[in-house]
Amino acid sequence: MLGFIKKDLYMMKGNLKILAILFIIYIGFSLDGKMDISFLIPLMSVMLIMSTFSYDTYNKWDAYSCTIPNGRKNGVKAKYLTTLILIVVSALIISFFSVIFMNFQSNLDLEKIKTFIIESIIGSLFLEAIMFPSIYKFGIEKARIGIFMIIFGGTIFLTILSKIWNLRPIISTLETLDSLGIMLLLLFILLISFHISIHIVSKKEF
Amino acid sequence: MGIIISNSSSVPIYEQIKEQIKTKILQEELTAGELLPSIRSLAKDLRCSVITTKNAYEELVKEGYIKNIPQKGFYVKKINLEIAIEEQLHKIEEHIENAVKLAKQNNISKKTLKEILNIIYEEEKENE
Amino acid sequence: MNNALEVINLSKKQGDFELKNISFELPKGMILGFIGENGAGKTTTMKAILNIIKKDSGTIKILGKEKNFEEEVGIVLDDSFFPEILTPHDINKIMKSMYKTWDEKMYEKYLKEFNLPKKKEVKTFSKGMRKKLEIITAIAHHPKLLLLDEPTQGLDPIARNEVIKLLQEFIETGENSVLLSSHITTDLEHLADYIIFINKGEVILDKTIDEILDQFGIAKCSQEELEKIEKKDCMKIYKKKYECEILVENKKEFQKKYKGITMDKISLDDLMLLMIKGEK
Repeated sequence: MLGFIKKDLYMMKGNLKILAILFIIYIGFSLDGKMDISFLIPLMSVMLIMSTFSYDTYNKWDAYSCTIPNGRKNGVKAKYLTTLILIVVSALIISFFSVIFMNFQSNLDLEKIKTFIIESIIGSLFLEAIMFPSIYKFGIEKARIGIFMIIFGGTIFLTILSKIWNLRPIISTLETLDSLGIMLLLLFILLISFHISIHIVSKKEF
Repeated sequence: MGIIISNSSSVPIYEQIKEQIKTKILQEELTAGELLPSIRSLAKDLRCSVITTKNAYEELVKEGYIKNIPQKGFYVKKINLEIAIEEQLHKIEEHIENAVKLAKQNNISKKTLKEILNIIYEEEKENE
Repeated sequence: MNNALEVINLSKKQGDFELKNISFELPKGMILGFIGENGAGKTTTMKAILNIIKKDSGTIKILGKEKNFEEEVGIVLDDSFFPEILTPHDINKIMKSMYKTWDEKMYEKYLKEFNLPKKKEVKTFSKGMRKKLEIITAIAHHPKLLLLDEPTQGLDPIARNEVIKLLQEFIETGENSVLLSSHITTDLEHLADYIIFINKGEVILDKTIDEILDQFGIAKCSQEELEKIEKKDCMKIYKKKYECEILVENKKEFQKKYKGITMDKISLDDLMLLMIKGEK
């Protein structure tokens, strides 16, 4: 599996430049102290993984990977794990810098940092969990469009729903869960998502 | 050891290899007890398939020119040159017999036949 | 175990196309050439052997095993490889973690021999360079069986020669075997021991190369002469404007029986053409 992780990381080498530019923009915004876009960084790592899926598809890597020992299974494992590593690492980097900047502006608020880090990790993990099985099932192009439609349509749907119904009770139930509980729930969802992906890939023809 | 293969010849490649090795044995360019190149390395060097060189060697074994010692390879056998040459003479007789038959069918005289033989023999000599 | 590869009654339906009961074997130490038109089922067969697509029925044994053979098999696929933003250097590091037997030294030796830059992205490579890299990558973990789909495609004659030499070196010990498909049949004439010819998803010929090149022949005759020839002596008949070509399975016997008919040597190209275009 290590080989597959290496492959995905090497493939992102070029995109790291884009990430660096984003990081500079982020610093710019953060120094101002008015706008916090740090939650975007872990999300970006999910986007980076998406680009590796695109490259894989372009060169029909999947057929080749089937012929590598345990290729089907390890390929999926590696994608999930690489993404997880990227999300956690980027979240850690952001929190590290946030602490420094806030300290610099002498308005250190550890609670605030903790909240946005957890929020962004939750968001990214959720995205990973729903995206990957759909990519394996429908291919990267269709999945990308599909996901945007789900997010876009979902938002509209929820907005309309909240106008008609009182969604307060559901939201407050969710709020009673502490962040640890949500994280555990998400890891569970991720595990299910992983098994669905493995199942899809083991049956698939390339 | 030189072996020349012609891809355009109508003689099968395995036969070309076989005949050339045979000639080398008869002319004592290859001597008894000498190890021949392996089937695979010969195939590689001649750029032909393994099955072709294998065929050639198997035929040579059958005809008694070489022997296969398992795990070691193919060796040139000690052959009785007189018998071998006898065999060749026998082949020549067969060919001439055919030539004579054909000549008689077409009413070609013995003298003409001899002349043809002389001419061909001299021509081949020059070519050597 | 004397066969490197055994395919028994392999069947697979894929849309309109169907592989029908494909059976053949590749003895250890030999090279088997796969020929056939584009779309005849060569790639589909290769993919089914490698489990890239799932077979409907049949048995496949690679080195005696029905699964977990990947470590001992090297492959070149027609159009599937590492993403092209990687470099040969990246591929080396990745493969080192993929195969226990990956031979870094051998890989780098061949990169040098084939003049492939180590640190340039594969997308800057020409088609021929890519194929060479794919072949080197397939061979560098010391597989016992190589499965190559069109390995000489896009290569110039010199590079093709290099590849042929590489494959002959690969089988020289007698332990390794190769299955390759190629539409450049002259490559196979110099290399393959066995020829499998597939057409429309079926094996229509399974012979050694010597059987084909030494025994098969093309008889050429006029329409009138054709009428005197018994149908059972003709494998295929291809009528052209001025002459008829007959694919003959045993040219010596044919010549004995029908004196005076021109008999030509056969090439794999002629064979393919006559098998497909000729009538019975």
